[in-house]
Amino acid sequence: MQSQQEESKTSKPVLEVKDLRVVFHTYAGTVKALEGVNLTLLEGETVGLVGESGCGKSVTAAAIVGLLPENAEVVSGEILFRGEDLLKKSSDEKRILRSRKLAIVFQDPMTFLNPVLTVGEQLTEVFELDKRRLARAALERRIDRLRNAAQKAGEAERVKMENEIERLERVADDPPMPGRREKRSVLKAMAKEVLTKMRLPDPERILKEYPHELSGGMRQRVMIAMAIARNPELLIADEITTALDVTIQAQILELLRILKQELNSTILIITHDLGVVADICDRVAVMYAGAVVEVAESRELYGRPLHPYTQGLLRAIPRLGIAQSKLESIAGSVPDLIYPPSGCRFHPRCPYAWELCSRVKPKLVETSEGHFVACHLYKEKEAHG
Amino acid sequence: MGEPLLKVVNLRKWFQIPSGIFGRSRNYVKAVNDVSFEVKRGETFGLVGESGSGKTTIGRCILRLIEPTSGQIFFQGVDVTKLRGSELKACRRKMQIIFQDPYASLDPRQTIKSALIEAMRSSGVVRDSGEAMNRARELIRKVGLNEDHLYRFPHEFSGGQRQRIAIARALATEPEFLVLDEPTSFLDVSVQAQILNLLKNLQREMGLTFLFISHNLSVIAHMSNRVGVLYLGKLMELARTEEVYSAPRHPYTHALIQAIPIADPNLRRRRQLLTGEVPSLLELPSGCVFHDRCPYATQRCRSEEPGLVERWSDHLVACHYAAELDLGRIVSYSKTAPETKG
Repeated sequence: MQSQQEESKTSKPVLEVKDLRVVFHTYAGTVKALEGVNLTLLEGETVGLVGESGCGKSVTAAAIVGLLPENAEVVSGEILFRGEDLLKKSSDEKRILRSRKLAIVFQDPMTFLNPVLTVGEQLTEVFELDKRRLARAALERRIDRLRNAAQKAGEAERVKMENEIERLERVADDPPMPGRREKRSVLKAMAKEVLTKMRLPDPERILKEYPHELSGGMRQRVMIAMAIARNPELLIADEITTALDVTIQAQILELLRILKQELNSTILIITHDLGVVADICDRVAVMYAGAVVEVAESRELYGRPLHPYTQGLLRAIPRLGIAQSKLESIAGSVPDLIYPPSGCRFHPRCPYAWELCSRVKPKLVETSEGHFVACHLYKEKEAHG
Repeated sequence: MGEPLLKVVNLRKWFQIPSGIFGRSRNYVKAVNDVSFEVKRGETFGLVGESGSGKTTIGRCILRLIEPTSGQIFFQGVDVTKLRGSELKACRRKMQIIFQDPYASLDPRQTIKSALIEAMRSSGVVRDSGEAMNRARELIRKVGLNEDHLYRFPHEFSGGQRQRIAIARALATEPEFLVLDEPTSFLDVSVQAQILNLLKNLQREMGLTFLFISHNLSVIAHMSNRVGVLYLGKLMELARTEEVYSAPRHPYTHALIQAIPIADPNLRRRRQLLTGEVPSLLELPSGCVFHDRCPYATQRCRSEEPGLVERWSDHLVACHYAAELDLGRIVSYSKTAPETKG
């Protein structure tokens, strides 16, 4: 655990979102959905992006994977994925990126699974895209089969088989495409393997089933299976446990935790539930009305929240085991983003707001090592001069 | 302790679904199976369960919004299931319900004022329109809105405000008992806290009795005096809130409480997860309905159904082995040790 954290400190960012601004053009007016989102994900790190409905967390995710709706417009900002700006890519390039390096899982799996294809058909489609990997898997299977056979075979046969193995190993760098029947069985084996990795019972049966035959938790596992099938460098989980019951939610979170260790993938978890992220994330970013207002390592954020919004949010959750006669709540409600408040967007609801807050939008500054906050109450850790 | 205001006895609701050619054969979704509990005057009774556990069905049966298949529901000593016509109407005046979705529960073409006054008129709690208007003003202030809001339409309000209006409308008939069916699950946490506080205040001021239905265990813990845990239409455990959350005696309750994600990374726990999924209500497991997910299940659990028995004073458990099992205390609740056992 510790070594993992140390590692992540020195590792390079996988994703950097810099000052992202997105607006939506609607009949009612222009919705200023994102107003300067800043977010960094380091290699192998799990980051939580939390906020209430309408704060822009899902818009941020959609912008990263290039799936913003047509009425959305990116006004400014950069989304750097391994140093390359995703916003400058053509839609073809983005599609290729999505199929290979970025993966996203959404809240409602039923919307994203094809109801008329079996799980197996949909899952093998993913593997079929990657011809090279498919060919290599087929080759490996043939070699394995020959090895097994060679062990049982007689002397003359064995020499022949060993020669064949050698020949196959020589072409391993440029494996030949398998024939149709061979391909089908290889694809099935790959699909089965990934379902087993998802801790799904009886993967053989599930491959033959249609999405409606599965329960919510199983569908979500299938979605995650599709997402990680190609070992993406970044996995975005957008409210994946929101539609599930607590006991199933706990199972899915446990699965994410295992995947995080096994695959060492970088994960961005988007949720409205502060409980979900506390359990699994290394760092947490809190969003409010289109901007990231606070980022810190999770223990730090939950132990020492700085932004008045984060403080209010944490106090508003009913805590188990602490008898509270009254919950603290944040007065008012989330602002209308067609006419957002001036200055700091939180100022109309903030108990500490003063005149400056309604005029100037606070910048995200680092107040202590790794703890960033966008609030006029705090100063940068090293004042200039 | 007060006398029970509401007493539910062996409530059962089976929904019939047609199947087979011409829908001749009968299949039932057994949503609620022999549920019995009491709600005392002035308390909040929490019903908690996952989706499909029957919690909403119970709430609706109590108000006779759907007809129970069998069983009795006594409200102030009167069996609600036998009431007809004007008697039922008079009884419903004293029982109101607040639904989950504040967007669907208000008529979009009615101003708030007319919604409130309509409720007062039909229940006959006001004599003339002057009195009705005064009461409407009083109610809207009581739920934390102001008089201007009376003249607006539902679409002009946010989710939290709508839920306040739904509460005002429910209070318009001067009820004694409110069924709160997931009143905050559509709302964000900061707004949820506002609504929960409002409900608690109203209860204190007006001496209301609540049946609070939710899937959110933390909210139930915050609101309730006593809690009933439902699973597949059956009560698994029923006890005072502190007991259910700190020393649950049913393996299902134990697993459920351990599964709650807690907003505190210092409480990261190794949890005992339930395996499998909730079975279908069409084919309930034999014996104890929880046996196929229960880590302690034996042959007896598979064949013999445990009844809900009062094992300790005011603590009812439906498990054959409730007395023998050592489930351990829930650490997140008592906050003493760093890790749960198992």
